[in-house]
Order: sequence, then C-alpha cells, then structure tokens
Amino acid sequence: MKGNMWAIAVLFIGLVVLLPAAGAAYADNAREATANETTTVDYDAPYTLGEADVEAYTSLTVTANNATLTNGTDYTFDASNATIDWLNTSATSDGDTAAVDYAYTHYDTPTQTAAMILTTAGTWIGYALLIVVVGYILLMLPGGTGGW
Amino acid sequence: MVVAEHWWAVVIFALIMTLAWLFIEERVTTTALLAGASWSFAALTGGNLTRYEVSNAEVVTYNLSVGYVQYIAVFLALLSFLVLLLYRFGLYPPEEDDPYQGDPA
Repeated sequence: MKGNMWAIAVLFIGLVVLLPAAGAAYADNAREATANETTTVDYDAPYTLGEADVEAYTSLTVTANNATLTNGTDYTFDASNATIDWLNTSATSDGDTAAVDYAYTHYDTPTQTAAMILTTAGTWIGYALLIVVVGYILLMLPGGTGGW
Repeated sequence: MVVAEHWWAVVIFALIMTLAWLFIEERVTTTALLAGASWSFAALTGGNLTRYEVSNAEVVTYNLSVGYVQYIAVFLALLSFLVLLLYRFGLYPPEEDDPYQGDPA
C-alpha cells in the first residue's frame, strides 16, 4: 500500500468531516408539505393519514363539530404508524365528520434511493478507509512490520 | 435546503475533481475523496433546491428538484470512492495493458 502522512490527514478529514457533512446536509434537506383530509369518526377503527411514508410530522390539527380536538384527550396520534385513534368523549360522536390538517417533511424518491445506496455503500467504504488509515498508523509505529 | 446556484457550484467542483483523478492522476487520494464527498452531497441534496427570483420588486422563492440527475451523482460518488480505495491499495491507475505495445513493427 502507498502511504504517507499527507494521505492519512486527507483520509482522516474525509472520514470525520466531509462524509458526516454530506449526511447532515441530507438531514436538513427534507421537503415540507401540507395535507388536508376529511374522515369519519369511528371509535372502533383508527384513521390512517393519507401521507404515511414521511420523514416527520411537524403539526396536526383535528377538528370536528366546529371544535378543535385535543391530542391525548379526544384522540391519540401514533406518528410511527400515521394513525389517529378516536377516543369516546363528549367532543365527538361515532360517525361525525372530522377534518385532519397536518404538515410533514419527506424526501422524494430519487433522494430516498440515493440515501439508501450511499448509506449502504458508505458504511463499507468507511470501514475500508478506516482499515487503510489504521494500516498506515501501524506501518509508521516503531518496529512496524510494513509487511501488509 | 440548498440554493440551486450553490448546488451547481458543488457539481462543477465535483466534476473538476473527477476529471482530475481520471486524467491527471496526481494527488488521487485528495481528488477522489473530494469528488466522492461532493457527488454524495449533490446526490443527497438535489431533491430539494431553492431558487430565488425577483418578480415585480418581490423576491419569489421556488422549490425545485434535479430528479434523476441524483442517480448520476450517486454513481459518480461510488466510482470516486472506489478509485480512492483502489489507489490506496495500489490497484489504480491500472497498468498499461495495450496488447500492441512492444510488438515489433
């Protein structure tokens, strides 16, 4: 293997700074969107939001009978499954029409695919580069074998 | 969210770094690493770019995506990282394998 201090420094900077920076840029790059849906209150069946494959939900407002319902009191929202469980309270009745307005962040398909490929490949490439760096350090140690 | 002009600047930089490791073959570690990181950045952020334009004395913001160009960026990123690894292990650039080299005329 070819090796010198300059190469170690470049690889170290790359592993520690550049690649995490690309990941951080991705995390900050989710597209924001809103959705407005109407559904029927059903105490026996949860309502699944139309946009379920999202990065995160940033807001959720549920109204029924001209009143804004409260999460945890009138319904429970499960963000991981994108479902609203209706709770049997005086604010709603079975069969009422409810409006669900929410905002969310998501990545488009090319971005998701790019992230998946780079994450998978990047993990292995990162390990390989780490092996290279460790190899250089071992070669430079006093009495290093220099044989690999 | 990345401004579109900044994103294209990164792409041009990545292209220059890619051409450097491809043709100049000097400082391959540096150029391949910078190319790989820049292409990765371009691939991961190309789906949500921002463009500011002035219209009727007001700044209008547009969101746009480069779409499938992101896949090309992914390919070039992986290629650059592969070159980086091969170079460090002494396998890049390849030996000259011209079958006619050295043949008597």
